[in-house]
Amino acid sequence: MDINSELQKKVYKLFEEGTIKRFIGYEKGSLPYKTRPCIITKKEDVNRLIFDQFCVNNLSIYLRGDLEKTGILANMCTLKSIVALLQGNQVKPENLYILAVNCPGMVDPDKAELSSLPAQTKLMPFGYKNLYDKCKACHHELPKIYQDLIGEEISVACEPVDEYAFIKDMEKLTQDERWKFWEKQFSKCIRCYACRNVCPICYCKECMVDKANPQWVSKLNQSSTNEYYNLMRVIHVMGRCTDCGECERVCPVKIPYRKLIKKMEKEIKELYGYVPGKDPKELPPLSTFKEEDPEKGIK
Amino acid sequence: MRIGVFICHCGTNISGVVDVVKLAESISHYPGVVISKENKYMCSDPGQNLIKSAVKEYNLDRIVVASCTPKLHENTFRACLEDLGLNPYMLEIANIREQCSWVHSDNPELATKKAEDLIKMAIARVRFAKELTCSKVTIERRALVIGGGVAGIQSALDIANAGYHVTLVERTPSIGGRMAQLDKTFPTLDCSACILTPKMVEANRHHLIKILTYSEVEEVSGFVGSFEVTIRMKSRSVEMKKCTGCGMCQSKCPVKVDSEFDEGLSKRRAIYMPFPQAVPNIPVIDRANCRYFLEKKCGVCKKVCPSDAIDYDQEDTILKEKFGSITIATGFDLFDHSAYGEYGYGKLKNVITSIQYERLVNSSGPTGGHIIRPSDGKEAKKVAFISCVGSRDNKMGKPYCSKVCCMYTAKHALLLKEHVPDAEAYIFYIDIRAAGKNYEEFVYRVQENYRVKYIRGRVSKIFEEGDNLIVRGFDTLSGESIEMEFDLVVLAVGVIPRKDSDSFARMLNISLDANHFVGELHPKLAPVEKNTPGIFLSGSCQYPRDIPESVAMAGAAAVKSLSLFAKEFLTSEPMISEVNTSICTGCLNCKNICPYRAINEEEIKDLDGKIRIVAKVNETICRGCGTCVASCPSQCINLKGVSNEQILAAIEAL
Ligand SMILES: Cc1cc2nc3c(=O)[nH]c(=O)nc-3n(C[C@H](O)[C@H](O)[C@H](O)COP(=O)(O)OP(=O)(O)OC[C@H]3O[C@@H](n4cnc5c(N)ncnc54)[C@H](O)[C@@H]3O)c2cc1C
Ligand code: SF4
Ligand code: SF4
Ligand code: SF4
Ligand code: SF4
Repeated sequence: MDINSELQKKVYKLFEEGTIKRFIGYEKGSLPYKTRPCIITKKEDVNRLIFDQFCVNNLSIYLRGDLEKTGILANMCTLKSIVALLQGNQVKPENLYILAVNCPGMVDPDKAELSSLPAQTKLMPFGYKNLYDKCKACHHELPKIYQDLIGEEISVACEPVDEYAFIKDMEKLTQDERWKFWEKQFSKCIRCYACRNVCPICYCKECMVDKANPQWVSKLNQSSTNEYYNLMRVIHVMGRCTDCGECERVCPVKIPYRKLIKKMEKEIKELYGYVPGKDPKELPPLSTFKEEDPEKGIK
Repeated sequence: MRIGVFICHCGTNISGVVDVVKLAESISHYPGVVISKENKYMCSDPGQNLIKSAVKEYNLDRIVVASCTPKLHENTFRACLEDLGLNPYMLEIANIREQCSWVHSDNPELATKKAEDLIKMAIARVRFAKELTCSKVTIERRALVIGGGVAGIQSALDIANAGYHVTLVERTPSIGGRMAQLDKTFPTLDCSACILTPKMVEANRHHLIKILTYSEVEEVSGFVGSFEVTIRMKSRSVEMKKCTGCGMCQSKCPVKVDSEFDEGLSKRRAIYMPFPQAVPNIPVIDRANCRYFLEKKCGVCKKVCPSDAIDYDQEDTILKEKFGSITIATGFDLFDHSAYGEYGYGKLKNVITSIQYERLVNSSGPTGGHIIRPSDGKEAKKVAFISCVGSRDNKMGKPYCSKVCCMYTAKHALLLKEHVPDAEAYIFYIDIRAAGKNYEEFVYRVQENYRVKYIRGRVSKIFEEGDNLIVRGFDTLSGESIEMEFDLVVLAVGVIPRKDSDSFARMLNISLDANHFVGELHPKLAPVEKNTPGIFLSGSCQYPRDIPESVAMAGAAAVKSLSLFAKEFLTSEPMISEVNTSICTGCLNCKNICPYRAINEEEIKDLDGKIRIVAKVNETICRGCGTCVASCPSQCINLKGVSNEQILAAIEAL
């Protein structure tokens, strides 16, 4: 059975059985290589649902707020974010039905020749080289938090990538060179806050940039405050960010956030042996206090 | 806003480096600053009077004192404000001594500049100062004492004698602890049981003391003034109300296992009282060894019990009670010498431990006070006592001195000579530590009057030759190797923390020291207090202690409970954290990270009527450490008195 019929059939049944009242998934967009998130609330609409290699949005951000019996189609990135949301008590597992999908990797429009795309695109028409970098490094081991799973198991057909390769290159630069690099990147920032708005981890009710009393970050769009904002945001999500890559994808001026985020991830991994997005029962290392903490700070 | 700034010379400690007079002048022009003055000693009466008269004259509402570290005189100046009818928290201290004049004496000009910056920051902070008040919390005036050794018993008695209820929880079937096992006690040589049992009986009969033996504390929550404690009373399989303590059951029980009380030198039954003077005088069935529980056979005890007190179906009882204070008196364990190859890995029959020796010399012990060898029952005529076994030994991870061993070893040698006058006693030692009242005199007596031979040096090997033991070592005073034959070797095994101290500490959420003893709040000034308010330390759970010290600590710990109970109510520290629930996302990062477990979740109703979870700080538990403030991704926790606003304002002022 092709994946779309499998998906639609399963969701139809979920509605019919009353397991869910709404379902968060993807539908076809305006162009062959575009999809968009959609939320359907009745079984008659299931035929809108699709899954292909352009379903890049992280759907977990639609889980905010009061959920009532919600189903969600979750690929690796979405699943990992759900783990983080569970850790931060942002979703109630009892209200959630997770339909996981084995994700073959998403196509990076910057890499693929999309203009020559046939009108009827099938799943998996794209080779490994066209995928997003994050997808190339994906290990495809889904965190076991889902209720059901669709799609064929992915055999990692590609040559394994060192997910920190580009970080290691950055680390070779001097501190000055790195600072120059980031200064240049952040000077492009237009403070649209797309990165924050798309980030599933940025679930604060009032973000630091919006606070007036005290004012943490000036709202002025100028190099120094932009640096401050961007670094602060990354530090805020450190240890909780699951590298879904959404912030980098949505950034209109193409700030390479993953270069920062992966560095943080690497630090946390090396310091605490912790990788976010695996087990909702685990607590992120920066959110725990252990008596036997090697650091003697508080005792 | 009317701010007064007062700058201290601290004699010449500050003014010798920082130009205090010039500083007072320039600060006086700061916005909001009404007056700025300097004085030789701000903490002195004239200094405080300067503040007082200035407040009255200029109608000041906020004060900045630039002086030494707030650790020293913050309270002095707060009290000064309180005297004036101002809220004591409308004060900021700029530390221009430790953080300025002392460390920058080489550059007075820059030091003056830095002092100015520090004062500017304090002014910025005081602008955002808010009036803080303490809240009142009621106190449950009942004490829990965990551990029924001499220290626990003494603490319980002292608290109860002052008129408060005490629950004394002891893990084993009887109270008494280690002291009940001892024979005579140094340095006075009075019989341990003779001085201990009256206390045990007194505690048992005290109408305000509830003794729960064969019981353990399982869970502790809450905080000073109101700890909620779950206690498991393990089933004795004997109905305490019916049992008369006649002992028929234990004389008829067919099972024999090593007696813990006699340290394996005798056998006890499966139904047993650990020792004849046990309190309570009621046996327990050791279900792991009882034939009825193992094979559903036997049942002899039930048949012979004249009071029909045996109840095989008895279940554990769970008690949940509230206490205002908790005293830890869990005592110590002893080092397992099988870790030492040189002493035969614990395999040599005639190498025994000091506590076994206590049982041997005891006239009501397993041998009736005869000092005989375990291998053949022959009387020991030549005995080696080896000190520091598992003490002062980094290799074994025991760097500390067990403190009691030097003394009890001297006592042991003396008792040998008393019991077997023609016996020879040798003590192998590193140093003799006898710093206690009449201790040195005691050791001297042992050496001179009893002719006990002290050999300074470590023993390198003990091995069997025929019936006897050969001790090989090195006499560091004569510089000669020695090899001697002995009938019996007694190892002065070190005092170690309770083996379950880690899990015990976790349950109580308290910290242990580097050696895993229960650490005190301050090594000098708060030796019987814990960093958790309302938890106190009694006896050798804190560090190796002899009986006089344990009893003294027990009294000290009791006084801490009593002074808590004497209060009408508790006031909470006002400089604690506070959650802005309107923007709290309920992620509970703060809850997980708080080292004092002061944060819990709470359900609130939003403006739109929806229920959601937010964090709530328990005012009595929070110590104002600020960890949660740093951990909150939404910046919605504030530390009162050191708020985010104040910190940002101070940075801004720079
Ligand atoms: C061989 C030897 C000889 C000694 N001779 C002398 C001497 O001559 N003179 C002298 O002054 N001192 C002597 N001492 C030291 C003396 O034994 C101690 O000072 C004394 O026993 C300390 O009493 P305590 O109450 O602190 O601890 P303990 O006697 O160890 O009592 C602690 C009690 O707490 C109970 N307990 C432990 N954990 C728990 C728990 N989790 N829950 C409930 N109950 C628990 C234990 O069962 C025990 O009953 C000697 C020590 C040894 C080892
Ligand atoms: S910071 Fe970026 S990569 Fe990390 S979870 Fe948020 S959107 Fe995803
Ligand atoms: S940037 Fe920080 S404050 Fe803003 S939403 Fe993200 S985590 Fe919250
Ligand atoms: S860390 Fe902050 S947002 Fe999270 S529960 Fe605590 S106060 Fe609320
Ligand atoms: S200030 Fe410290 S003690 Fe108080 S709630 Fe925060 S983390 Fe806990």
